Amino acid sequence: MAIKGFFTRLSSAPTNPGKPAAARVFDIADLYRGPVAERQAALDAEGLPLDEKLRQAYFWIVNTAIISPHYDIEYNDTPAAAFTLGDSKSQLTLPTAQSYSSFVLLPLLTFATRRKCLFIGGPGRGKTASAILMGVLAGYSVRDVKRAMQHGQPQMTIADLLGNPLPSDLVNAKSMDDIRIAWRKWLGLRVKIIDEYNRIPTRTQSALLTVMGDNYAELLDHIYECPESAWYFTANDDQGGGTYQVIEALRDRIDVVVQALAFNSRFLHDLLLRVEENARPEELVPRQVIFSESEIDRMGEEIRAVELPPEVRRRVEFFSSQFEFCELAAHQFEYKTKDTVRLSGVDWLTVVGQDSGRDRLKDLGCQTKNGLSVRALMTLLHYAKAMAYFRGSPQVGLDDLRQVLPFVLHDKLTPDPDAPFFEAPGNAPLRADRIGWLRRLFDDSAAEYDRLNLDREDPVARLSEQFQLGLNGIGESDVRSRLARIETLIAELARGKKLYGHLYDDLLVLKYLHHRYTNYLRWVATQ
Amino acid sequence: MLSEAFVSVLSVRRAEYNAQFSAARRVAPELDEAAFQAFLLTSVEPLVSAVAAVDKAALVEVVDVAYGIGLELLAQRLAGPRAHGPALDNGFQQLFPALAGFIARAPGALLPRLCNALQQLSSVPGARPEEWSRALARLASGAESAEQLLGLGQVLAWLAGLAHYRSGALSLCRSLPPRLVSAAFGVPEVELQATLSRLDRDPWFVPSAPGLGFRVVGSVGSFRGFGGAFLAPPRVARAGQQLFVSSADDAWLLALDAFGCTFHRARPEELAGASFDIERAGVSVDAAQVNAFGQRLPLADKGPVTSVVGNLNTLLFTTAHSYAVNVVALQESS
Repeated sequence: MAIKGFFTRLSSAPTNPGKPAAARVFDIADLYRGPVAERQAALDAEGLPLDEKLRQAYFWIVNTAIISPHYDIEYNDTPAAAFTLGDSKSQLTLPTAQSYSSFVLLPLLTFATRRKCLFIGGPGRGKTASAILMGVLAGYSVRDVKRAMQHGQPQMTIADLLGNPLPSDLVNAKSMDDIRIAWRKWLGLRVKIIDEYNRIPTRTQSALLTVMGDNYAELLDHIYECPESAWYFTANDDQGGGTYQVIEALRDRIDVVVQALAFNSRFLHDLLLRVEENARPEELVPRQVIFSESEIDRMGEEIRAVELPPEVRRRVEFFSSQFEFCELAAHQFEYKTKDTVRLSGVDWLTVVGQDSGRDRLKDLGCQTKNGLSVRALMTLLHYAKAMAYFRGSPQVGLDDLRQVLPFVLHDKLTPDPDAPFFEAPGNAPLRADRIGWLRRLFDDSAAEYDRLNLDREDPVARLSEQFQLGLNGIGESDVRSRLARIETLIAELARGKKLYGHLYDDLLVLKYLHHRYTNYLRWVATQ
Repeated sequence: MLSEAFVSVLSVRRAEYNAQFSAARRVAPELDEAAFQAFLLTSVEPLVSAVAAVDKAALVEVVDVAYGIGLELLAQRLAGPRAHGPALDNGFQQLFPALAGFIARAPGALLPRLCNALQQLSSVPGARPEEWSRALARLASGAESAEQLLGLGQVLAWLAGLAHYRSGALSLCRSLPPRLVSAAFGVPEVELQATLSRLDRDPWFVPSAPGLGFRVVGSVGSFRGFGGAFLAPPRVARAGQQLFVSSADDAWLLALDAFGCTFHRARPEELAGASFDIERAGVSVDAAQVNAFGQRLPLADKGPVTSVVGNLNTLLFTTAHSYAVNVVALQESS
């Protein structure tokens, strides 16, 4: 029981004590809590809030199951101590608030939100083991999870992936409807694992894309509706080093990318213990942290209910507005986007080479070759909410957003390695460090937002809010005054001469508002 | 010497227990084999013998649980020859055999909890684990289930000095069988409701000695160098009915009543708006005495008063001669 107890021991709740209630209450049940672990499993876990249960699961995984001493998701409630090390002046910071290991937390948030997570990293670093743990958290046995795992390999066919028509039906059937399909069991699981997904042939990837994107499988005109699932993919190399190039649409549907970091040799004794005791943590998951289907449903609802305050939303808007704009992509204002360049097939360097008017070092948009898709933004909001939920917060904080953003945008924002930013002193490592680069990008965007004082002075936001109140009952003179205000504001913005991504978005909003008011004015005139 | 019953279980489960011990020692290398053997012999044996006398069929389960708990306790030096204190060993040797009937029915539910309670009582300065053990052993026969026994244990823990559980314990008193609760307070069952009402109102009321009245209860806390909590001479404050004591950069919330006093780290927001006055009219302290209800209580500590506060029931003051906080019960004589 002792060794089993070691592997099944859970962290005491609350795992992330928030700001305590004003009036202190001493719970007499605490008399029986202490250094001796409870023998009656699930005695304490019943009735725990789901966010607490999720934290219990996280701490069980990091403390017991996965040896990952990498706290790369750092939170601070007071200034962190920082140390400068090495010739490259590397910074080591010691976070002052509860911080997390992305390799465990992001997959867990994926589990809670039923989205799609890609593990990348060299062989033998625990990518598949982590994915299996997520399956066990959903209530499946290790055996079922392993059997349901799809192993990518060059000969994998659509039938291997989805299922087969019954041979007798193929011979006897008079119509397609008569053919019964033996669907593969993994399609019905709520946690789906695709191991080494970049070894799957392109054609089979397309079938996988349908299941991923639309949540159904199709064979011979027969449809299998899959349940809402969390997906986990693994890849040894995410940069095209697999047997097959992963189709872009499939990559785009992956919500977060987490890297399995290197094993720290100081933890070899933990490995030794597992070898000697023949202990497999995935077989010792405490049942207190196993989630039922209804609990996962409820958790999803609770996550969606986490509030995203307007001031945080504005930061996301400002950040995302930096990247799509490409001044020299088109004549017409609406088409001045990087997507226009991409669709045209014009050489990227040719377009960028003509861009001589702006400070390309200062302009954050110059660091990327693309902008953010709607799907990427929705994913970002979803994970930011999940992160806040996990931390027991009723609303998303800027820090929550900052922490999840690099993992969500890892494969979504493509850096331009030739951008002046990467040539600047000290920035060269950011070409390889995608997470660090994205975090820096967000920090720079936040600094620019502060410099522009947009929290206090944001006339475009005021005009949008005014418009959101509705047009009913607004008189002609009011509308004309608003139109004049919009035109004045555009003129003011034009006075700066330089165009940046956030200005481009603001100008398009002003054009939109102007047009809506113009239409309304025409309608008012007919009344 | 181990009893025959214990030897038989150890023989049957030998391989499993040996594996548990080896695995536990890998996790906690300080776990000592000789110490663990001594713990089994002196502490677990009395429990096993007692269980064997009431229910032989429960022996394996009881030993399984006790063995696992023993490994946890010894790994943390909470029991056995190298333990920091005797509370847990005393519990195994004296209390648990007295509860053998309950433990035989639910060892997994009871043993860890009773051990945790003993550990908590022994780690809170001023709490009285021996008194708790004796009372629980004496009154356990009145409980009809493990749940009632655990509830009784919670009430008795409050009466044994864990003053911060007062509110929870009083609520519990109303859900436990009156017979059990009145026995815990030492009052006739017919007086229980009146006793509980008085306890609700008056933290200094002692059911077995109702006439104590206005009195100097004693002093709490001492200099850190002598094992206390205070690094510098303490000062007292209050926020509403909550009483606080601060010393250097530290501050504590005091939970105190007629049965004990416990210290709890104060949060900054709890101290916001703290006052330094006496809420109850007509109460004062000077260098030699406390005045209230028309009475004067002489003080043993005659040093200059450095801080004084009082809520409706309690007066706290400190003097320049001591690192202790003096406690006065503002209880009108009935």
